[in-house]
Amino acid sequence: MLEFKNVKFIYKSGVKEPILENLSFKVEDGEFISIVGSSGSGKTTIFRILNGLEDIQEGSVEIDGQDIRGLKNYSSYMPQKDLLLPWKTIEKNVMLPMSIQKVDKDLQKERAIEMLKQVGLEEYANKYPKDLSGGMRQRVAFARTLCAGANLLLLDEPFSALDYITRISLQEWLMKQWLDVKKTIVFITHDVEEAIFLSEKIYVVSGRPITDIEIKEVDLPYPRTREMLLDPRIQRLKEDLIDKLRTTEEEE
Amino acid sequence: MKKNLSAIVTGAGLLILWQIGAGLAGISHILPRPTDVLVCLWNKREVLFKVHMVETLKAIVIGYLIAIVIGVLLAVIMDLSEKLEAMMYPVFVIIETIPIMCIAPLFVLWFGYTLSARILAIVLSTFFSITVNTFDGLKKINKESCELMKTYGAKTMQLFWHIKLPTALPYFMTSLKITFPWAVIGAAIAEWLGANRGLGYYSKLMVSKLDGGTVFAAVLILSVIAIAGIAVIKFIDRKFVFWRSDI
Repeated sequence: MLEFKNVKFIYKSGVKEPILENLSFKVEDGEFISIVGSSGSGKTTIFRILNGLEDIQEGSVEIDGQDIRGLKNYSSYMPQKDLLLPWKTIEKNVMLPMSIQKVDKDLQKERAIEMLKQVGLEEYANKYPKDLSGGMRQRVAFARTLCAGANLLLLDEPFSALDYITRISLQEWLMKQWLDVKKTIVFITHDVEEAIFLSEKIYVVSGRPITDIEIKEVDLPYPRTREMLLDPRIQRLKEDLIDKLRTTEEEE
Repeated sequence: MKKNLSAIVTGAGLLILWQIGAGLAGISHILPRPTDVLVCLWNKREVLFKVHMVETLKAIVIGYLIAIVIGVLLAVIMDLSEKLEAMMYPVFVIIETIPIMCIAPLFVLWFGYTLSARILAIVLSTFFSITVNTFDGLKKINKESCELMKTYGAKTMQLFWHIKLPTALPYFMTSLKITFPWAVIGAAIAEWLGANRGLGYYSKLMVSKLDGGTVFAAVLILSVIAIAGIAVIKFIDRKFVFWRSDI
């Protein structure tokens, strides 16, 4: 279980205003949750703290009761851009987290091929990122994220730069991946429909500093289909979330 | 192909003009025709290729390799510390402004008519640009990629091998393309100013003997060395550093 306990965070440079203040929330193991909020609301800050890229001033962030500052490889991060290294083959890109963690080379290769099969791109193992489309590159980035070996996956708007059709097909694909791998996914998005389609719960962040998170449950069974989004309850949830985000943006 | 063809036609046209003009002037000892140059190249092939070209190539290869090692090392050192960058960068700017041609006679006074004097001239005329370009490349790293690597637990050396070095490589290759002709020019000038062997020395000797054909023959070999060197660098760049446009 992931838990934020009374977290306070201020960026060291720039405006010395707290971004998070006494913030607490939990994510249970195996859950798929989305964090939604307007641009600049602090969603990415939460991820940067979770990744260990930023130090909090007060409180603690814990995984299964242990402070993340004493942990290694507890999370795998997938950024908005695929950030595949153009000088490495697809296979070597997927192997990268394991190479950093000095995993045995044969095992690295074996796992990379396994993950590329999982994302349906094993025949591209020896190609380079330039040979792949945007959607394929994101799938490789997801395979790389899985290869980091952590049970907590942090996905930061991974489909936002893609065209609409690629985006919705990758959303369906991601949902299937999650059902297969059974890892905890924390997904940042500003797309309300994407959050509803994918997640069990939606965490709405608002205000500056963020002091609490409003949690909305998405009452739909998995595997989900696009038609399910037409359900009047889901439409109401969507309108409710949009209103909430719009109000927040106007206040800011 | 069309572009190359037009260049070939232009070059051939100029050579024909030169051939006709020099023929009409009738002063082949100071203005030889291209055919005279080829005749000299053939007649003096033993001394030109086996003695002087070998000597010049030796200076270029050793001097340029030293310049590459020093250039890359200094770039890495400056990248490691902003303080070192602040200390070293202005010094390099000063070194860059030194006209090597003017101080090369001093190298002869320090080292005599030796290979070391010529190597020093080559190193000083090329390493600065290698340092600056490689250093710029090291600074061009994608910060987001570095942060992603850090989330995997990457250490400084791992960041260097996986991100920094490949990012800097296209910049380093560019510096080689720019500086290799300088190494050839540096070698020729140093030989011209103080040496007892080498194409620069030999062309100077032939000037004093009013043998214009051989002077041009030596210059032609120097040009071919520079062109061949750049072609090899470009081949390596295309074959192994294919991610230039993706950085």
